[in-house]
Amino acid sequence: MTKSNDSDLELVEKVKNGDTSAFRILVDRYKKVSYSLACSILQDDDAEDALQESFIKVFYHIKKFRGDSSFSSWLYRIVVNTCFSMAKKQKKKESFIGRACEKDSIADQSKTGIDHMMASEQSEMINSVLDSMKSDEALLLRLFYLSEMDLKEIMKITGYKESKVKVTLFRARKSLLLKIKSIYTNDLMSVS
Amino acid sequence: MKEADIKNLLKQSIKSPSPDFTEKVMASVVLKEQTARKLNPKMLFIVLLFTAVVILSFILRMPEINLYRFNFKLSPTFTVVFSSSFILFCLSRLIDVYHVLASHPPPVAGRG
Repeated sequence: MTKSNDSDLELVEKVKNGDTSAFRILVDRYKKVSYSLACSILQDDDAEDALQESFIKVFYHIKKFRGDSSFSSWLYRIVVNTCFSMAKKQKKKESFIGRACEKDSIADQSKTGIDHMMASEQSEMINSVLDSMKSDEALLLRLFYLSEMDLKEIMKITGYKESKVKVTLFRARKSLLLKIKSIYTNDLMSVS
Repeated sequence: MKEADIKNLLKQSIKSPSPDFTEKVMASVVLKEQTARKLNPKMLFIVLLFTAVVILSFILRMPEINLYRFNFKLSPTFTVVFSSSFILFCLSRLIDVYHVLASHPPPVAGRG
């Protein structure tokens, strides 16, 4: 009997034995974080398509998963690779830079302070800030803080070198804080 | 701002795919599984046929072909490759015809 509180490995074993309901639980468990990661590389609609493709890949290759790493790490690696190849195919990189600039202005124009925001507004603001960042910076931030991966796992997932992960994370953190600070400042100026 | 604050901020930024996302994934998984199940007997049939062709090629030989002053003698390898590709081509056409017929069932005869 499949339970929603089963561990990842238990669920994986069940999927390997042909239990599709266990796979449904895995999809529900990881779809949000995976989607957030995919949104770092692709636009929302494409991200959902890429994520769907990734989960189908996971289902068909789950027998190859031997448990050397955590299931989440394996899944995120597939998601990131699928998104990268989709972005490459659609030559989204140029349009992504365009999108980043566009969102940058949105983030700068935001005049609502964090303290006064409702949760949804705050979430929107953070997403707009993340979207305004470079794709690899947003991806690394999400991998590090959202999916709580360590540097080695991030290196495995993205295929980046340790130095690149460290430098990009440092820049990303700095950029995130600066942008949030600028929104704060805008808010204070509008109040006064 | 501390690390924990950044973490909290990013936790709030988590995005959700469309509400029917899980259903879409499960539907495509089930569909692909059904297609694979349908394909398996066909693949088995093709493999068996191919094996039969290979075995037959050891027993049967193509006769020498005499055309005017030219004499052709086909090697057994060529015979196998040629005949198997011909059979596979015919089989793929038959499968197409089967799919067309399956998607357009004959009309049921009316009463009276």
